[in-house]
Amino acid sequence: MTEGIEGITTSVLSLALDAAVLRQQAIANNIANANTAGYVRQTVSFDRQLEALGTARADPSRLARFTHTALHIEPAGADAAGPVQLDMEVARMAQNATHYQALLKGIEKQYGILAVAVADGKK
Amino acid sequence: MDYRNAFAISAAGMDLERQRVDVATLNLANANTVQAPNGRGYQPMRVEERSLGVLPGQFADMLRAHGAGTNAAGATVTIEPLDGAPRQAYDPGHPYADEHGFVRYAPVDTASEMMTMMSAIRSYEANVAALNTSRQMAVKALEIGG
Amino acid sequence: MAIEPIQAIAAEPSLAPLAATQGAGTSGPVGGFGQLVSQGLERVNTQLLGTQTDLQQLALGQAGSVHQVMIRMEEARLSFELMMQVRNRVLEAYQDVMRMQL
Repeated sequence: MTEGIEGITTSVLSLALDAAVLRQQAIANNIANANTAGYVRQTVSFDRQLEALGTARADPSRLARFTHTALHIEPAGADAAGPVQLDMEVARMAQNATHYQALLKGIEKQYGILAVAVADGKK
Repeated sequence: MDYRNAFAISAAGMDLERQRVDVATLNLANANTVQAPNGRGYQPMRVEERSLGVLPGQFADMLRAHGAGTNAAGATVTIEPLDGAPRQAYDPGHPYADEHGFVRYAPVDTASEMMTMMSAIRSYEANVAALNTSRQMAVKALEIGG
Repeated sequence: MAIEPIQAIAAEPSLAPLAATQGAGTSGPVGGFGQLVSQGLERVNTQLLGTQTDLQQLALGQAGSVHQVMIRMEEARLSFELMMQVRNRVLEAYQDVMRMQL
């Protein structure tokens, strides 16, 4: 909607929301297939990109590499081999749900600030 | 983030307690195995954890550290065999009885294994309570500003 | 701390001589008020840009803490609303003066 830094923020937030929805599907898959023989844990490609980004402060220009088309569910890498551990999956699910709520709240507050400007300061 | 650390720590604690229960179950299943006269039999195992303190970091780093043999909370988790003299029972008709008629069984202390399982279950519940509390706190923080 | 700008705008004494010098056009108090407005705008803008950065870090999972992000967003929103109210009052005052029959 808006240009400049607010457009970047909104697009990054919506991308993170899409990733959270996909992550929930991947975790539900893992939990449903916990006892299946030969099942490989599923994860979201967004997580791998986030790890590659590292713990450095996010540079908005690098965020352009995260696109919606590249977001998908994929099997976890070789470092996550082994049977599905149910308590780890449930902990990840709880964290994902909290993250989703935090992102929603952030978007709501941001648009709330813009609404103050649009309404000209009058309620 | 703050709630990510809390989730990783609780998940690591739950994983450790589950390992304890697994080891105790294995010991109990082998409680009545017989040691062959010439060789060794089953030695009960125990989970050893040496805590190094809590290391902050991302959830993924902690899980990777967990896969490499250290706990997400920075503890080193190893499974070591216990030393113990085999339990002996008098049974001359047993095919594995030695010259005095004694049969050697694995030295599994059933009572202590049951105690380990009970304390592991309570610790697991405590970890789950801690995780739920962290989640509630994070969700409540989102309500700042109405 | 970010609470300062809200108090600074309300407690600034140079607002008092504004009614006396309206239309007189002396450079001192009017220049002071202009500076005051631009400083206030600058602070509110900085706060809003800070919230944008906070949200981006939150989306990427690198925020320091969730409650800090929420608190800063709430402060930015309140500063922005206060600035809008000040602007509305100033506009009303200006229109009142302009409607005066001379």
